[in-house]
Amino acid sequence: MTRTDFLAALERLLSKLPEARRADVLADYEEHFRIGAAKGKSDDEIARSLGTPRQIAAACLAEEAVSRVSQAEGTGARMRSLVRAMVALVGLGFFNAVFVAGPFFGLVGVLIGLWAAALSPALAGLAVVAEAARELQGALVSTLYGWGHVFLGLGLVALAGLLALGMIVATRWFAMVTARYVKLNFEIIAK
Amino acid sequence: MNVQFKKGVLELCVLAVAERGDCYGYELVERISQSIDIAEGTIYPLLRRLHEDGCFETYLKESGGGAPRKYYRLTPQGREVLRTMRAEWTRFVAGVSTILSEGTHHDPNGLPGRAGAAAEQAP
Repeated sequence: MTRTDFLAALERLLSKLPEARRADVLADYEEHFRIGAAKGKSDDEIARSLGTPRQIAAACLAEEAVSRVSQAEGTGARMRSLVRAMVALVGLGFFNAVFVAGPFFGLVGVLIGLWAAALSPALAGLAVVAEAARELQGALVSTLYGWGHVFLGLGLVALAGLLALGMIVATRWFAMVTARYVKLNFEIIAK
Repeated sequence: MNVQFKKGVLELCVLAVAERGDCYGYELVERISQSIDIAEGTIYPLLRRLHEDGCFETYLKESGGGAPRKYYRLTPQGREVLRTMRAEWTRFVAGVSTILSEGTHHDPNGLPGRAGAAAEQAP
């Protein structure tokens, strides 16, 4: 590969980086080619020992993602930067996503199931209320029966509300534990 | 070479090479690639990160008749990181060597402690 092709490919792969940083990175490799040529090596030789532009770009983006983690402020930004860094590291084969993704998706499944269970009384309750409202339009004798159903229905909806509150707490706790686990894994691999 | 080995070790090597004296990128890359088989291009991002973390400071210096080169110099923080990593590495290597050498005194299919039986069976 010629020097210009190599650098052009690298520039393209690094288009996501901020301009100043990208220029700095390219300058490093331009210098490398220059010195290599001065020492008598051909562009092709140099390009081959450098590795593919793809490899280098992956390493660059990963290192950038890693340094962004310590700069991130606020839990939301920090989580996002951690995930981005992990994705970049997975691309380099340094981070086995199975250790994080596996348990994570399993727990998300459980969480979804629990939410469904928590909210289902509401659906049942609304159905009961609807049915009762229909009944109340009918004969007077069933009024008490009908109102009983209305209150049962409302009670079920309230129950769902309580369960939902509990689920909100559980979900927040889950997010916090996940964040800690992700951070721990990341620190082991990246530091 | 196992990619997981390389990740941690490369940082140690880069710092150790720089300890011997300020060097420019190409020089550093060359020294490392002489002993370890890696894609040389991946060393520069590592140098950049170490610089951002405060382990290196960089300066430009004229090279006789050519364009200026970027030199890397180890900072006191970098020296400290190197010292720690070197100690960890030495401990680690000693541990692994112990485990590996234990294996050569025994029948590879047997358990440690059956050295006598293995010696009798050996041709």
